[in-house]
Amino acid sequence: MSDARQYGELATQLVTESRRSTQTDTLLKYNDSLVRSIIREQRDLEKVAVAHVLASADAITPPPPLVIVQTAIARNKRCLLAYHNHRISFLCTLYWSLGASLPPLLSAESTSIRAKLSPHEVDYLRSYHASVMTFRSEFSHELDITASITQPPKDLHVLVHVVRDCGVIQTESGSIDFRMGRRFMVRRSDIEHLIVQGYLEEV
Amino acid sequence: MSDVHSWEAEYSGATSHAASGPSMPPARAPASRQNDQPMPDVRINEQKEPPPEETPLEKLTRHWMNERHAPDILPAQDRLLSSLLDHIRRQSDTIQLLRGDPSSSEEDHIRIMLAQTEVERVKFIVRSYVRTRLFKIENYARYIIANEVVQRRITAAERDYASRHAHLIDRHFYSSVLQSLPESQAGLDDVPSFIMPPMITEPETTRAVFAHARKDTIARTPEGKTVDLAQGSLTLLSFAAVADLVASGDVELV
Amino acid sequence: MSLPPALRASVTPPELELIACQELVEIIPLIAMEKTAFISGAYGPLRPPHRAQIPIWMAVNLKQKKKCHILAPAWLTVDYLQEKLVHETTQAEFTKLPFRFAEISRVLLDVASDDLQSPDKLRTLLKDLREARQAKARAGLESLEHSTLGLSNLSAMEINEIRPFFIKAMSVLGQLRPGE
Repeated sequence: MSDARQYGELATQLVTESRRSTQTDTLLKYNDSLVRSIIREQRDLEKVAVAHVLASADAITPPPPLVIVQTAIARNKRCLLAYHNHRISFLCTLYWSLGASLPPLLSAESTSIRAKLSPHEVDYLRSYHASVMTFRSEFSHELDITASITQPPKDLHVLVHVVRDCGVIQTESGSIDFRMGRRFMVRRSDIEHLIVQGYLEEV
Repeated sequence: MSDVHSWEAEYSGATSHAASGPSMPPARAPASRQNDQPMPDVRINEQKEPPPEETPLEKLTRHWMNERHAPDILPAQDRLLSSLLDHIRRQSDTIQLLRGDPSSSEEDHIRIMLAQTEVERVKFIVRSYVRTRLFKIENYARYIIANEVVQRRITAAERDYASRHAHLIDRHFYSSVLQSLPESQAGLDDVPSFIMPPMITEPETTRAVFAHARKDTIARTPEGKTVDLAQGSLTLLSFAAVADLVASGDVELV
Repeated sequence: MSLPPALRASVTPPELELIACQELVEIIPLIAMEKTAFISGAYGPLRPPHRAQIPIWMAVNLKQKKKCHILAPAWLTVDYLQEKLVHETTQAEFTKLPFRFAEISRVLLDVASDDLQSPDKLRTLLKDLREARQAKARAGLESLEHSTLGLSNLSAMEINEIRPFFIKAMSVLGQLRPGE
């Protein structure tokens, strides 16, 4: 039976992954096997804790081994939650940076991000998106709270180059068919989301 | 041109900035905006002036910066926001009208371009203000739904968002972790022990802020010390000491 | 999360510039414009060659389209800044400068240097001023003893630059001396 001191190493690994993710500003693949291992460890620790409790039923204060085990349980749990919390925060930040739309994150084209997510995270993103859309509808379409807040408006109009077909888009000058390879001078606020998502490129 | 009159009449309802006549600068530009004078030296001038009257946009800009610097979520500015959004809409409508008018002169084109530019500027500020609040609501969602005092400071839409968000997070934790743990470990409201911080994140109200006093006032630190804030002065102190003053407008955060 | 990381702990220079450009500046218009109602106020009429006061963002717009000349604010002159620099390098306190002098001078030098006298000299003076003041701010950080701190005459841009250091220092102090 392992020493209580060896409990918690897996949790440390998980925390290290979160830190690495922050430092490199990339999302790593969801570490399902590590999470499952820690959960198994929690169940083992629970059995040990219960055994200590039963053995020390007459004690006035909890015996030290029990305290150690309970501390390990608490720490493991915090690390698990912190890991998951870190990932959904990362995802939400990424979501907003892509103009608050899901397809760049979840579509078949974006296999790089999608492949890194757990099924629960995909669910979370969908629900988060729905919640944001509900909030967004409180404001007029004109305002669009999902538009950029990092680039204060400088020029009203911008020259763009179409990198990927986006079809016909309504702009202030009417409908424009944004076909790949073409260039247009358009009002920035009409097509900013297309720049953010990589369909258009500012010239 | 009738369009000019509609643009004029549009504004006559508002309070300040009426130009007094041709070729004269606006008679009532707020003192704070003219030539960006240094902040007044309060020791020389005994007769204190009240903070200059602000336009709605200046007010929103102040609230925006307050919100960015404050660790806690500040009282919502619902009415101010609505009236500015209305103004944006009316201005956009006027712009649309003039753009569609084939008899527009070059001068009109310039006015339209300037008006559009301004609309984008104002929308940017509104957007950033709303998102700044939303960020705090996301961070403190569980705290908010359990705290009535904070709930009264936020809008109904923000309350609903907080509630949805707290639920989202709880559900995610449950399905990813908690439902697989032994029952005794599956709660989200663990009592903080000597090594664990509390599970519900609360705003860090003791965090330091830079307070600019818009009038003579007194701050009270969490330790009970009073700090005199002379009009125009800049002081670094804990947010908790000026929270009330920020809410009342006596202090702004910079 | 709805705020991007760069915006969570501070204000960005472009945002500070956006705010600073709401301030008024004097121009000599080269086009005529009737008095017009904008969201931030009514501006004009513009009747060349009479001077007018309009927001900096508007002046910049017109200047870029060659529709106006921008007149330097009283503080954006070699004489004024030279005097300030002398004070700055001989006194312990920060000298009084317009709260948004850094942002406004940057915008005007960028867009209207041909309207300003000795723009290169102005740039040098502004750089020297900023450096002198930054040195003072760093020194102030080292002597951070009281839990409240008076910092008169710091400008918006400077506050923004020192903000993370001062907040961190204050929180450390708070931990070292928990409240009575």
